[in-house]
Amino acid sequence: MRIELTQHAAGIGTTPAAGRGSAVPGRGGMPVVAAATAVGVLAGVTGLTLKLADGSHDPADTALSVLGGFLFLGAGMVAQLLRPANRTGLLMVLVGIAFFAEDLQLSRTPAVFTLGLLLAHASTPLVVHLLLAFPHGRLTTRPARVITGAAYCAVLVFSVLAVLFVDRAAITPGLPDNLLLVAHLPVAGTVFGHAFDVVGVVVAVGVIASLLHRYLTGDRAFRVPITPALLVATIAAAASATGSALGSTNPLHPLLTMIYQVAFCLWPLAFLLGALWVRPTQAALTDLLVAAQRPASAARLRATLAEVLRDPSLRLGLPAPDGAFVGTDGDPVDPHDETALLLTGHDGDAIGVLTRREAPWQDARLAAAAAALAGVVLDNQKLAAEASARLAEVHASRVRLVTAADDERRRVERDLHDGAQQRLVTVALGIELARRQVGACPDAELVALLDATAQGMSAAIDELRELARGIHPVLLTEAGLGPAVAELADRVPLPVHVSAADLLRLSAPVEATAYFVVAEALTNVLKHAAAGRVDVRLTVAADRLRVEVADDGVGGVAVTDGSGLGGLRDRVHALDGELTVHTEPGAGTTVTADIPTR
Amino acid sequence: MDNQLSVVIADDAVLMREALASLLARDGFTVAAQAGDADELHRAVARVRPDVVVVDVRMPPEHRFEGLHAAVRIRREYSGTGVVVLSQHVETHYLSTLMAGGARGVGYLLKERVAGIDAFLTAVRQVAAGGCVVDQQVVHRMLGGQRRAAAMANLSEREREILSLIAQGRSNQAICRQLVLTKKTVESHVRSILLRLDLPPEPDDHRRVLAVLSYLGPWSEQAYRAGLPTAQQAQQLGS
Repeated sequence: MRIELTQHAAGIGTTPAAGRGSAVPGRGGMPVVAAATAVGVLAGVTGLTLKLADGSHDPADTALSVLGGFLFLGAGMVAQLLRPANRTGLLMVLVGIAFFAEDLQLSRTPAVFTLGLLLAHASTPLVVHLLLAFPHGRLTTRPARVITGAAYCAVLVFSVLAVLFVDRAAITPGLPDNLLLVAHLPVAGTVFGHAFDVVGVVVAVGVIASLLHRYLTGDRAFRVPITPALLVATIAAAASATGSALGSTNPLHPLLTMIYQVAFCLWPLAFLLGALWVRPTQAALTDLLVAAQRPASAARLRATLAEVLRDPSLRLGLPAPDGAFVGTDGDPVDPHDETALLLTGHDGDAIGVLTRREAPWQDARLAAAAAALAGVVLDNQKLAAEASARLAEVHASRVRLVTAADDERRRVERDLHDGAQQRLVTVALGIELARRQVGACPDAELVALLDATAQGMSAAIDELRELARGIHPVLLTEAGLGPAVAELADRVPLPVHVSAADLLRLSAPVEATAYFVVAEALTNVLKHAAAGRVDVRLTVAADRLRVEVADDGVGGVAVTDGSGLGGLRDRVHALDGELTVHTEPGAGTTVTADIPTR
Repeated sequence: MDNQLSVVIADDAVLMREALASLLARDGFTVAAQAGDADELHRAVARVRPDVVVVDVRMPPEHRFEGLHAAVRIRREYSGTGVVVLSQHVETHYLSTLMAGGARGVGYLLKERVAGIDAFLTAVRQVAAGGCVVDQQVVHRMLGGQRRAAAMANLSEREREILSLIAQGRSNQAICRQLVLTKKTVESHVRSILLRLDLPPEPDDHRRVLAVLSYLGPWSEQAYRAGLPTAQQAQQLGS
């Protein structure tokens, strides 16, 4: 009984936050409760048949008790239907089943009789469970769980022991065989009975104390819904107790019995009343809020809304470019549908539309609130998507700027070599030819002038070559970072040790960025560091290029944003890399760039 | 010139090409063909099998190293054809690429050397005859490079001068002439230099220049030891 209930509970009571992906919360509840009710009706009919066949029961008494059982079943069904998220309906149905199950011991069939013996007290722990879990259908406090658990355990243990060791037929002759009987121990029966009574009293006191405590300390949300059930229970208990006290011979006894039985019949209705008073709105919206915290696709949002509003046919339409709304299923959604709810964004624009099945018993405000919340969620997602798209665009444009600048440098370098330099060489050749022409000329001044021009031309070509190399080293494009850095280091009038072993070719922006970092760092070393040695290390590990330029100079030179390295930091950042400068007075300076290679 | 040398000129700048052709023709070369790009050059070389090719390092379509790669390919495929590469770059990296197949019949000159007409023509003849010529400015950059600063400090002024000439591709005889020294003096200097640089004594000029260049090059040394990956790369690109 207990285990079965727990399984149902897991299927029904799971919140969207906890149960995502497995059981859809609530949706599985209805079939389970319907099946349970069907079992209950069967049990009820069986019980009624058995009672009538037994003949020892008063017809009015029989009618009222059977009616009470059926009312538990019916009220449970209604509660489940109207408050699907609330487990109370299921508990009520189970109580109804348990009542009827207890009647199985009236059977003359040994198997059914034995089953009836096992279930003789089945309703007790369920009633305890129902009371302590009311009105939300969940055992929220530790004492409530302990008491309920104790009730289940006690009934299970005592029922099993009683069936195994007490032969009812020995006490009341004419009863069918107990199929599970191991041995008849009359003493055991008495002991069990007493122990059971003691545990029963303890549990009853626990239940009353717990209810009283919650009633006195709880708020309206607890007191109001449970009042009818407590009122009816108190009347029934009072009538029963008074009846017992007065004795069955007292003229008031039948009346008190009648009051007790009528109260018993009213009990499920009182529970139903309480369960219905509890609005599911808050719980549903809480679920929606929790679900909305996670980023979700429109389809997921639709699913969440469908769960919260208990409407699998619910559709969520998003605006299409042509102004219409297209559902998550790809079909158009009519915003003029009479059940349609418009979702609005922060600027009041319609950013979606909901259509749903109208449920007469459903609070329309729930749908409106859900729609408003869905609007906020959609709006948030839209804003987040816009922001991340904009961020991606900014990032891409930074990379484009770096790449474009590199391309431009390459182009300028090429133009200098292919244009200006080529032309200068041709002119130099022309001057040389002219000098030969005038070789025999006695005009020493002209010869000297031509010589000077040729020398100037040669110097100009050299300078142009250096200029072009500074703008963009061809070696970098042609041979890669390692050779380019080695060549660069070779030009620095300082011992520079380059380690770039096993460095493969990397993408052009990465190689260029790393190269300029090394170039700038070496320039800084020459300018400020007064270093005796520089180590340049280029390593690639885990898809990242690490560039390290470490000197043994004076250190303590601040790198400001206006400096060359400050500008390079932006460049490194554009490639999602990091540029750090570690420097301490007297301990040298280390410039480190860490750049993703893809 | 009783035995005229044939030359193929490759440069995408028509003006420069014509000027080179005119210079070489006046000096007694037979200008067998002119080419504007690497493909044209290969076809011309295959057709005329010239004694020497003068090729610009940058040619269409990318204007980067098409000329260098074409030169590497010609050296590989036509051992009888010398190759003079005219370059805008003093970086010695390209030199190691070019020299990957040995130092026979190969020249690497800065483009402006064309203007020093006589020296240029002499260099082309030298390469056509199987010699090796390396631009003096490139060699000076190597000698002045920081990597070898300590080793160079161990050499005397005269020894550095001779090392530079060895690197430029000069034979002992040529060095004697240029520095006005006796053959014996030069040979003793060369022995001393090679010993100090921990290089094996090489009687063969071609192998000697290669050893010296490999030693001096900032990157080529590593490439040389590691089985010349840059040259392989160049060959793949060139073919």
